[in-house]
Amino acid sequence: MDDYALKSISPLNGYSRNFKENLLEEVVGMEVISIATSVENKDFLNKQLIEIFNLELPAPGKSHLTSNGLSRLMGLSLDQWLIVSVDQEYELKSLLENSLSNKSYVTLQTDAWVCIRISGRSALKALERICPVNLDPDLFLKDFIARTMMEHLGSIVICENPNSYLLMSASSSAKSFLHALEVSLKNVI
Amino acid sequence: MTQIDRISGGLIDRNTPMEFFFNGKLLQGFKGDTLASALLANGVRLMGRSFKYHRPRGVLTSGSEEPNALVELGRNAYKEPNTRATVVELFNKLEANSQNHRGPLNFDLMAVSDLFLSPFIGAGFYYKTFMWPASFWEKLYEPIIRMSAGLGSLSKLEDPDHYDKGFLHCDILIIGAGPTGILSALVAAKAGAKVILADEDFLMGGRLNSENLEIDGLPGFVWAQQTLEQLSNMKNVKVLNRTTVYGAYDHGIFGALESCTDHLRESGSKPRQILWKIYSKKSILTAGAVERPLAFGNNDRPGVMMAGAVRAYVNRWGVLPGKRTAVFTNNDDGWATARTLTDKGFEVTAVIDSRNCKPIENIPGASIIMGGSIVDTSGRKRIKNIKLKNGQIIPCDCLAISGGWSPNVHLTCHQRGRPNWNSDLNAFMPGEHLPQNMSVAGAVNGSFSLSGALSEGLKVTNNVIDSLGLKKPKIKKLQASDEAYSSSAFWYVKESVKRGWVDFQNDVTVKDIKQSYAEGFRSVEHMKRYTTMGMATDQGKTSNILGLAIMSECTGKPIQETGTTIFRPPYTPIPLGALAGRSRGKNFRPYRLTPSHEWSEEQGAIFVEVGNWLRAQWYPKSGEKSWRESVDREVLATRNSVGICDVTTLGKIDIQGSDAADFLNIVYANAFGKLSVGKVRYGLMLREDGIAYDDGTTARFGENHFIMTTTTANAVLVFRRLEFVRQCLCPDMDVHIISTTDAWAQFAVAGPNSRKLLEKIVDKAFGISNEDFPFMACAEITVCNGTPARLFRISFSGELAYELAVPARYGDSLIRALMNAGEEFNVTPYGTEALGVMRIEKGHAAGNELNGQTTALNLGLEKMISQKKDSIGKVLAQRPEMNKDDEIKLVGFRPVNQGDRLVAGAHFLEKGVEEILENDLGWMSSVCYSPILNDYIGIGFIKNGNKRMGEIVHAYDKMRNNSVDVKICSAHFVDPEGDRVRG
Repeated sequence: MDDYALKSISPLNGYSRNFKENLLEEVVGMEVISIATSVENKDFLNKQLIEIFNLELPAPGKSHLTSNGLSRLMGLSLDQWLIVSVDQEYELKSLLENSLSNKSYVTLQTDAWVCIRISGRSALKALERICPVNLDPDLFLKDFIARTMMEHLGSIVICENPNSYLLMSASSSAKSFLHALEVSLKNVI
Repeated sequence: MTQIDRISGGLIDRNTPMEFFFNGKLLQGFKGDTLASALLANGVRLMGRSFKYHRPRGVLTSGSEEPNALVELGRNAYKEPNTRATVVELFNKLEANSQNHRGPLNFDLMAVSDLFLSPFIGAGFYYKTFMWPASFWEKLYEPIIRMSAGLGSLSKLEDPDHYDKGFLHCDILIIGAGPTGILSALVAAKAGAKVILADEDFLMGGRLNSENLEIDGLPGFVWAQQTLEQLSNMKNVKVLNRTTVYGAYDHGIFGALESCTDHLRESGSKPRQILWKIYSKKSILTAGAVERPLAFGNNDRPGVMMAGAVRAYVNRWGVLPGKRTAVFTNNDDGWATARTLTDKGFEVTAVIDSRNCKPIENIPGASIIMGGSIVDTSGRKRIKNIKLKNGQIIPCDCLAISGGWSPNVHLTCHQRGRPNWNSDLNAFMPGEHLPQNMSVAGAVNGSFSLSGALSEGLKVTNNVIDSLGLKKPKIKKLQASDEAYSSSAFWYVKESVKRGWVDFQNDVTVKDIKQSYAEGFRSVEHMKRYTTMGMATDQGKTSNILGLAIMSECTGKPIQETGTTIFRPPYTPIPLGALAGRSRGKNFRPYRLTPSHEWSEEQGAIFVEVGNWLRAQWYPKSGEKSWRESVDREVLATRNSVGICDVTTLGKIDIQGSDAADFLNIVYANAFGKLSVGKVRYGLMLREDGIAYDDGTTARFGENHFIMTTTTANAVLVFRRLEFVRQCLCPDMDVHIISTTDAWAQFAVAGPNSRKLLEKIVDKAFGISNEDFPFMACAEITVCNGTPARLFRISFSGELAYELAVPARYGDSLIRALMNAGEEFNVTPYGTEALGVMRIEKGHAAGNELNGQTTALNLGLEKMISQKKDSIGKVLAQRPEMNKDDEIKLVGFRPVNQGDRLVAGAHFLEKGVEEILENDLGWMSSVCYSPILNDYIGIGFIKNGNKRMGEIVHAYDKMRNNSVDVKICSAHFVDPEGDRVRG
């Protein structure tokens, strides 16, 4: 069996590239977990997440970052949240499953997504070419998130700051998504 | 290079000369010129030939409404035909060529169509002539007509330019940066609104750049540039020049085309144009107005220009269109042109006003003719004389005509709004039904004086600001002139014997419109189509009202009762390249790759698009001469030992919740409530009408946790359906779904040695013997020393088979591990073709059989519909019409004569009957060559198929001339007892 130890490869193999003063990079080593719950168990879920992360459930379109900046809890809809974490300290899925005691439902989503950070002075201008969401920094504030379509691909955009955005999309179409971002940056710098 | 008609003044940069070529001749202009102004400066008046009659034509206007001066820009793959010279910004080394002529522009051989053939080729001539012999139409007549008429030509080479698109958002979109638009933008911006100001021109300012007007004591263009600079420095304003807002769509969304590098010699690999989608809360249309011509004999000669355009060339570009200009007008505005010219010391030979009133002003040196009109002109390649109705001949080399102004109501019509006729202004005004949240101000709303336009702009913008809940800023009232504007309903000179042009671009004359009426075309829409008026690049901007007025006279009804055509997007032509944007070639649409894609590429796999996925179709080996050889090898290797196929593309949906089992009972026709944990079940979904929708397997990994597998093609549709059921049909159920298709790399490992292979991969803690892990078992396991995985004992091939899933990040590594581990069994990767062959050999239904027409009964799955529970489609599947005795049934077919090729799509007929629809018995849905049976086999639907085993019918396929006799048999060609899958 030792002959067949499996090696992990991220959707874009750790891609990173500068476009003048802008950086496009795959965020690797990130765990993604989906949590869903029923209305009656929402308070319980909220309580448990405060206990684990010291974070309250965010409303749809908002996200909360843990104090160490390693985990982010995002509100996707009234009954669904996504946790993205690069915290290596614990095995997140087990931790959540144990804490939520079958009152909420946890699905490992790590491999379903590619996560790309676009940052730099032209990041917003580049996103203007493919993202239909109004990312005006006066309106789309830090830690805001939005579900949208970019180049026909379902995606999530997360504002880290007005010059840095995390973008998540399906891992199988990661190369198309990356191409869209590369073209956008090339066209605006 | 002398620029013989360049005069002083203008807004061009004389310190930046630019060389350009027209029909190969080197000429010179200045930065700030358009191609049209530069050509005029160089004394060029003949710029092209007309559409049908190949009449010599020069520039008529100075804007995007230009119907005449169409040229081809660039060369080879960069060539762009039908470009209006009036909107082409001059750049160094620009190359332009005239179009639509045979031989040189000056001696167009096709001019015979004007000189000799014109009586025979009036409006709609092609509907009435060339009727005989009928067979000549496509082969002879139509090609000749197409060759003779037309505009520019395409390079037929791939467009090498780049295009992009994007999304913009604003509180207020202001369309048009003339005086009204600029003031509106300033007011809105000062109120704190996010503003986009867009204008098609490269120099914003509208008519302030072309007229001698003042605002607050400043020359108009100075005020415009100062204000625009102020706007450009405001954070909440985006100023987009060279940007045409071409369409108004639902919910305040506008389409706009920004020209980015058209004015540069080199694009530097940047997009040539950007197609913007602008989301606005409010919009203000300040698009101004265009001047329209008057129709009279030979009114289309080079040198005949709109009066406003003459002023624009003189004032903005420092170009003199003619040394001796005559003016023909039906309104006050024509007089402004005469005054502009004489003020600058140029000769005006005559001012002819169709109105019987006192002269508007004194024009030194000009004959003033009130109540006059022009009946004819002379000068083939440039106007020389005009002839009045009293017979008087007046010499001129430029004739400035003005038939009044038409507000640019185009965008107000894009959501079916109809403009209203205003008989005071003799123009169509924006109607009551404007696009959502649009306001109009300025000349587009009939406020033709500068002062009036500014006042209205301020008032309208303040209203818009109010509606957004913003505070109105304090803006002092601007002082501006209040020019008089009065026009008359005079459209064409009835006394003219010669042809008078209405639509210059499509060669439509007054006579053509009258003829269409005489031939029974009463609707304006019909007249337009019969005569081709208002079509092509200018979309009738200068001709529509004139045509309507003539039609109105024919019908004896006022214009408002005669009707109008409403406008559709786009306002001006949009290159197809811009519409395509960056979606071209490999990136025409997004593609999805399986985790083993790179490995498959290394094996030389041939890929096929399945949805957006690229799947390995087969893996050719050296020496194999055809795809069939590869596929046969893959099938035989799998059936004889072991094969591996990447099945990652199958949809995977994670279903959790205390009501998950009940939820599945609703969406599947068969029961899932009692499915044991650790087991998989095949499931059939029906549509509400009882037709089969999708099939797949669902595995139970926990009391409240299921994994559903869907077909690749229906993955999204099934997910959407589950969401619908969850949210709308069963909102009280505790059930949650999420797609995990991308999360798992999944491989089918099939064949008699599949278990032996997997035993080398699956960690020892997990037994996979037939006893430990029987057919239709599932489990969460680990492989390769601890990698989490899921194992399913299911088979699509009919062999002993498993599907092994690992997190997608390990997919590449797993396929390599499986291939290594399987070396001793001669493991073979197989693609979708071999997969298809094996499923047909086994008689499994797939997309061809679940085609939206077939029922569970047709598929032989009627017993799967549980009668003990409710499920979608159950009730309507019981309709008598869907349960007739002679229903079609899925069965197998083999050729009577071994080796006869079967084709999918063939229809079954009893032998010897007539090949008509009434005798149709069913159809062949899937076929393949079976290397196991050494023959073609097929599955398909035929009436009473299950009761007709052994009978021979005819498989009829006239389309491909492939009709053979086939014998009906079981659809299970291989291992009908199912021993292999359970072994």
